[in-house]
Amino acid sequence: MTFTRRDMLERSGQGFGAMALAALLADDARADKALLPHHAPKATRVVQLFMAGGASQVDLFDYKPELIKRDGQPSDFGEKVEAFQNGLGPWLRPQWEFKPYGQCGKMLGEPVAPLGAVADDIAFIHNMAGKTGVHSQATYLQATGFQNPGFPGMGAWISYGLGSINRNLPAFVVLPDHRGFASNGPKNWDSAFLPGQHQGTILKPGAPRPIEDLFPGNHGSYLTGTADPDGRDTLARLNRMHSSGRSGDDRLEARIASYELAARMQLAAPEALDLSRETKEVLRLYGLDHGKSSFDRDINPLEETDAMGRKCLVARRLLERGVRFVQIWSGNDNGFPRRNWDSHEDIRRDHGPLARGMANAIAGLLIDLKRTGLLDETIVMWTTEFGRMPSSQGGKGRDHNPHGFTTWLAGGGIKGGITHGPSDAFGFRSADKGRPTLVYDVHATILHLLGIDHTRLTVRAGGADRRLTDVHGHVIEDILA
Amino acid sequence: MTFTLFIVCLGLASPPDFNREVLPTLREHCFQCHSHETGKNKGGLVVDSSNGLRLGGDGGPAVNAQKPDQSPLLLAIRRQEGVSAMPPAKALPEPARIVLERWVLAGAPWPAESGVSPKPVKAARNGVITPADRTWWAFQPLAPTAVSVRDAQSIDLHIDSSLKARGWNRASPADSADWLRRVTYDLTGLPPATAEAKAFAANPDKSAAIDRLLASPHFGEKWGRFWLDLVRYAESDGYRADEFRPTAWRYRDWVVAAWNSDMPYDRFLRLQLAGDELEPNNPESLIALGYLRLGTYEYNQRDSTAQWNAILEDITDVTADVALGLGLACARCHDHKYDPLLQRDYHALKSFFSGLVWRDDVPVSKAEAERMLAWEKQTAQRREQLAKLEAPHRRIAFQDARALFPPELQKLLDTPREQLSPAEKQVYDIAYRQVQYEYDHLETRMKDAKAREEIKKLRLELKAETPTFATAQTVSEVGATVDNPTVAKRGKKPEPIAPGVPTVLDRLGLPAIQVRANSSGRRAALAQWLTGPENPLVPRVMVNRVWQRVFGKGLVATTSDWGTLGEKPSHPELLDGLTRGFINGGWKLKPLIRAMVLSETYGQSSVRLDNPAMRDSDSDNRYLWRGPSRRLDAEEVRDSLFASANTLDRTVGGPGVGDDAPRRSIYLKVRRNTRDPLLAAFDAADGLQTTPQRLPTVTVTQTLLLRNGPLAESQSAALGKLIVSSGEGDRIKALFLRALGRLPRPEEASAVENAVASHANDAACWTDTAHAVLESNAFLYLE
Repeated sequence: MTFTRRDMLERSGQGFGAMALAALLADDARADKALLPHHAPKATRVVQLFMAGGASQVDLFDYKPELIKRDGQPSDFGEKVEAFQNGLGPWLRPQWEFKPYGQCGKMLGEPVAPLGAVADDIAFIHNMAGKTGVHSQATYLQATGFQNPGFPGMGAWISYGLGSINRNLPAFVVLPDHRGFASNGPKNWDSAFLPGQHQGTILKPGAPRPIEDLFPGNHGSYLTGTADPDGRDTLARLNRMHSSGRSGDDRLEARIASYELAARMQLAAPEALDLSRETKEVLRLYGLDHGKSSFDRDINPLEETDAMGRKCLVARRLLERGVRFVQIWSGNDNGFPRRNWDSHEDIRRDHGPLARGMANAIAGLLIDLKRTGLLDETIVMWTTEFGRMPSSQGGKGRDHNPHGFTTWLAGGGIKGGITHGPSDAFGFRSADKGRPTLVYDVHATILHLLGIDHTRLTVRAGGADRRLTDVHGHVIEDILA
Repeated sequence: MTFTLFIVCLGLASPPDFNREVLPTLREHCFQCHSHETGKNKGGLVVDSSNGLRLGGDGGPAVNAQKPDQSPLLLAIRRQEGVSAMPPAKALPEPARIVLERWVLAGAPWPAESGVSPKPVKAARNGVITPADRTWWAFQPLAPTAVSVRDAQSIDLHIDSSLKARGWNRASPADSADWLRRVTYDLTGLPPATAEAKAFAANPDKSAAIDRLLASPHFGEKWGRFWLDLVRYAESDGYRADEFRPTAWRYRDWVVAAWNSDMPYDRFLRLQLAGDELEPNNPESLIALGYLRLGTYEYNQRDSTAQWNAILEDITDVTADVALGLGLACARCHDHKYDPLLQRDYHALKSFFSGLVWRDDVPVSKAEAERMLAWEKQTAQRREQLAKLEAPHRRIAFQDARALFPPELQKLLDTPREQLSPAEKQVYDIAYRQVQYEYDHLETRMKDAKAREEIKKLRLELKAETPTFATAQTVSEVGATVDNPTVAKRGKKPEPIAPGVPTVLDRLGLPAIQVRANSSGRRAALAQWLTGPENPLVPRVMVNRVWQRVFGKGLVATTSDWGTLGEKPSHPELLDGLTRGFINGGWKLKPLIRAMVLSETYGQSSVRLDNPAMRDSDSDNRYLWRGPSRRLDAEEVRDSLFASANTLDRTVGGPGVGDDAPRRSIYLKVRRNTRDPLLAAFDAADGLQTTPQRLPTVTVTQTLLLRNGPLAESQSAALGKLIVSSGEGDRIKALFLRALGRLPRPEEASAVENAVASHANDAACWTDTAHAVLESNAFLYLE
């Protein structure tokens, strides 16, 4: 019913060009990319962790004693501030205790305490600024570098620039939140004007069909055991006849090669998703040793740990198998009860379990990557579309804050245990107001670590030379190892 | 380079190693103010390419090729008197200065492989178009020597003479079944029906076949789709909510009908830009103006001023791309770096659109308007009653919606609309949509349960007796007077920019702007200018787009980029001749397409083995030494799966339908955020950016979709069943005719025969055989 490797090699004809296969693997050689990498890379892979809805910096990573002192007092930002909703209520203290962790003594909020074990590997950036408090545009900005739709995701750019380092799996894999997509849905990992093979491939660990259409499925069961191989044999023969007399036509060769790759994916993807071979110790790292198969109805830390832990463990397995860019989402789009980071109503209620689950899983990922030596060449990036206000919305929730939020990086080429770019006393915006860190800088830094000069990875589209960092971006030298 | 050698021979200096010494020095000491990397070109100078150095900045070239020792760059780093010392703050460290001195004295050689800024670099334009700028070929009138080309033979003469000039010749004609398949897809996007294929085999009359296809209602579906790609057609808002636009399809149907009726291109363009001003009594105008409503919209964007500005700029960008073939977007913030387009030109073009306001739910005909009026009268009393009930809750809703806007917009919303300036009214309108949104969802936000239920009930009752009115999303103008957009230069007051044409084309005067009763008349003037008799760009761009669709590659390969970074035409005389013929023929597209597909050039075989030299030196087939060959477009793949199995519903037009409907793909609902997976995988346009040409890719996703996807499976089963139940004696022949529009070649027939020999009566076997043919390269590629 499915392809086997031997099957395909026998049936799909011989001698297709290496070029054709390379193109399928997102490894197409183009003249303007011949110069890549631009310099010696420090890392080869990226994991991007995206907290959809807007994760609160002041409750998790950016400790602000001033907010504790002034809790409940009328907020005063010293300037006119535009709230997204009614977010200019009184100052609201961090909703959890903070304690120092690691050699570096980084102060972390209680729900993310598990990350304390790897605090010395992380470079925090607390003065991130976006451009808008609108979810969709802010998500686009952090995911694609542009706040309007129509631009490739960072993973697509990196796949385009550097190609694949494996022969069985896509270069760019997306693990969405199991409850649904975030704002903009699949547009966040679109290839836009880059060739289609650079688009993120959705993989849903634990779902009955982790990759859409990888196997003949539920659509029809008319196929018989004998007829299907005959059909494929016919196809291979027809294609061979068609190709004879057209030798050198890359398109045709690539199509024939695509069947071989599909067959390899059929073997490789289930294997990459199979967590049953992982040891107890490894499962424990990710919080997957709880032995439960059902969870409470209300949002709870155990279920969040399980969901995020699975994605993180699958991510490690994908990285090991040469996937270049893994994007993991936490939180879906808006809805009630909240299953994302958009805690307008109650930080403790929603951020609590989400953050604990996230921290358990990501701490496990970082420890595991270190254990396997992969962390040296893997950049792990944690981000969100914007932060949350240090003031309340009158109650226990916080409004959007595009003026200040936290992003952090760890792994290949990143200096751990440091904090770059402080925010002001309230965590409202960059301490140096005129000079926040922008997503362009983070993207430029990641490209730099991958051996790419962000100003030179360009594609002509719509009459302009487009790049991930638009016309901006400076490598953040301070956080380089 | 000869110069470099000369210096070396004299032993004056040997150039230092560029990559190891020169480039790092430039990067460290000069790039900060003079490079693309940093985006700075102080004094108009960039020093990150040899072009940049030679073109120089405001003070002329930085390097003097004749007298290197007099190069301003050298004098500057030596801090000689009378020259601005560089770097300004502090002299270069001696080793760095010596590296640069040696390098400049050696002629400042810049190895091509250094990888820094390989593009031509122009110094800043400072708002000036030079006489040299005006000489760019695309801006010239049609060559006086170019003879009108309106028939197939003339096309062949042009192509043959350019082939002959290379010592090449044409390929032999394509097999007639292959030709029919090619032309049927190219004109209708569908495979030839079995009966058509059989009839053509018996009587291969190309001219008759072309006439039949051009008259088919499916012609407009195929060619309309090409226009929809250009104007980024979609039926939803994009962004987060991606709200569906239930009446957007009327614009799609109008485009299809316009192609079918062979509406002259000039009128086609004019109606979309200014139908309301030019043909106010034509109900079609309202729908054609849907072109101006195709951009994305974010429903909860609070900075309405920026939002409205972005909407106008999006229209400006797309109009320049589509009509003029010029990427003007770069000139939004500064004079174009490469093309002779000024920032002022950008905003002058934008100024034509500065009167726009959005209009929703406009009745599409007079009869419909009357019906609507009658309904309003009939329900007036109850609507008034409802309004009274809603009033207090609306007030709360208004306050809540208003509170989310920044202070200056709150002030705007508090002002009666009629007291606002035109520009303020436009911002007010776009902001007010968010207030209206709250009104529309009033019952979901009311706390008072009793009042809520009452309002809900009344609303439902009213809704139940509201007929569906035929309406369109369209535009009108804010009034006879509109505000000019402004451009702010650093340190200066924002300057209002009046409508105007690109400076480089200002020899073609702008028709007088005639102010209408409620309309500025600006868009009408733009439409008339674009389609005026002397405008060389607009018809040329369109003729070239049509050529690209037919032959695979444009005569100008960069179909939407006619600036200096685009490619020059491969056959300039032919392009101008076709354009002249197009204009003389009244801007009609069907005769143009007819001439192209009837040509022997088009009719060549796409496979050619007799002359590898041509393939080696022109693998892109730019000179057309063989016939065109392309993969089926996304829509063609999907439509053909249905058509082969005889399950395609060929109804033309109407509201968008769901993915599962066996309608032609052009009629699927186009939601920007959730595209049909099969169409997306086969490189359909995404409705976000103008798409002048599809980029066909080969991906595993496509393979998986054709192998295991629901549509391929169901249609293979349907086709298999059809073959088995058709009673055809020769099933293999029937299968090939249905799927590929031709008979199997002997070796194909025997391959299939072998496969089915042991299963001849097994329906599953024919399903799988059909599946094999439907995912074969012979199916996906046109010969």
